Amino acid sequence: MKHYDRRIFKKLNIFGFSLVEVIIASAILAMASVSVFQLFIFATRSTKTIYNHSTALNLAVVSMDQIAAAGPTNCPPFSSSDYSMERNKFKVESKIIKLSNDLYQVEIKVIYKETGRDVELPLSMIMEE
Amino acid sequence: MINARTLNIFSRKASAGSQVYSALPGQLSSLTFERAYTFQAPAGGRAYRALPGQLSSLTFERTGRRGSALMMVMGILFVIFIFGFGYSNYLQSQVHLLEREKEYEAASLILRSAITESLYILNYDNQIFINKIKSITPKDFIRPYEIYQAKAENSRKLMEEVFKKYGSKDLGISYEVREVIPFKDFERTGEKTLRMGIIARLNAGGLNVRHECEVLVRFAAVIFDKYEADARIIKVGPERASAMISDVRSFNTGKYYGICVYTGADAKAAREAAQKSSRFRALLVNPAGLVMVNKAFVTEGYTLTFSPPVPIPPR
Repeated sequence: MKHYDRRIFKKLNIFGFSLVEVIIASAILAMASVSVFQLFIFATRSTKTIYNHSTALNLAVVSMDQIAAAGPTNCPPFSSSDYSMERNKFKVESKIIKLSNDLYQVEIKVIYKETGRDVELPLSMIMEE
Repeated sequence: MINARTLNIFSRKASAGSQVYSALPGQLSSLTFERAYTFQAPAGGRAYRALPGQLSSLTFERTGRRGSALMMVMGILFVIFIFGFGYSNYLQSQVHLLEREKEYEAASLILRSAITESLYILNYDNQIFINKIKSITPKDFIRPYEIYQAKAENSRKLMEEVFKKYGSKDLGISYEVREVIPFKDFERTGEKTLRMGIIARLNAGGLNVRHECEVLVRFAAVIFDKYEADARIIKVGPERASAMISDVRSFNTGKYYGICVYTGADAKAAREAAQKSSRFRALLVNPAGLVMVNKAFVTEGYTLTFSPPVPIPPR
């Protein structure tokens, strides 16, 4: 390599990167990384929310259908049951209020934890005996 | 100075044994050669003859190596951002859709409640409805004929509670006549079977949900004298003690009793209770003991019975 002319290499600029270039490249990479990292956080959180919400809604609808099928008089006025799903735990509370001779208001509340706080999903329906 | 060996660094297609070298686009800008070489630029397809000394400029189609790298990085970032933001938007829309799905589910339950409640109220408490039904004839009936706007206060309260975040909300239940079927035999004044649609609508914010059901409504005279001998007492349940029904003929002709009271299995007491008060519940039980309808309203010697509502899927 000793017989090569350094000027040519310098002209071709193949020695490496300057400090400014490295700093600019790092800044661009950092900005991009922050955005991508935030995107990952958002995606994870959204996936959790979607899973929790859809599971809670399904549980509420199924519980409502069960009470409708059994009849509100054949179910206890207050009940609570816990469901351990794959990724979260859900608590289903049901409350049956008598409105008149044959009409009952059924309230279902599904409670679950999401990012450290309790989230409630209520559903109500009036049904006949 | 540069020779053939050095050129190997810059050009992958450089051949030391040959005098013809192929320079990749974007790799060389300005070189000094110890002897003459011929370069072929593949992009342009044009050959360059390099003479000993300074070759001032070689123009190739692509930019420099680091420029290409920057473009590649920018391209990758661009793809990440496009797909990333697209995915995040998709997830956000999924969360939003689930929120809306919950509201639709709640609205759907409220509409089912409203239909149940309106039928319950009609069952006990609506002389206007009975009078309208009595006056409908198959001749003057134009379909669809909305005859009644039902009230469902409990369902309305439920709606107010569930959709309190929306300013304007409305719940409407309307009954419309779709078909009038007269009785075949022994028809008394006003007696008929109707095919009716129950349409429940809920508007709250941007939410607009509609449920439609169909019921068979039989409006028939209560005849105690003619078929009293055919009446039977069937025990239905511990609270609904008895049902007085007529025989098969009564179902075919549309004449039936359909009286059931909450107290006692005594047919005489049941009939007396039915005659005294309009607030009793009737059952129509077929001869096999199956409950056909469990709603009836007795007024002025007539009963109004409803079949269970059959949901009609949206068109």
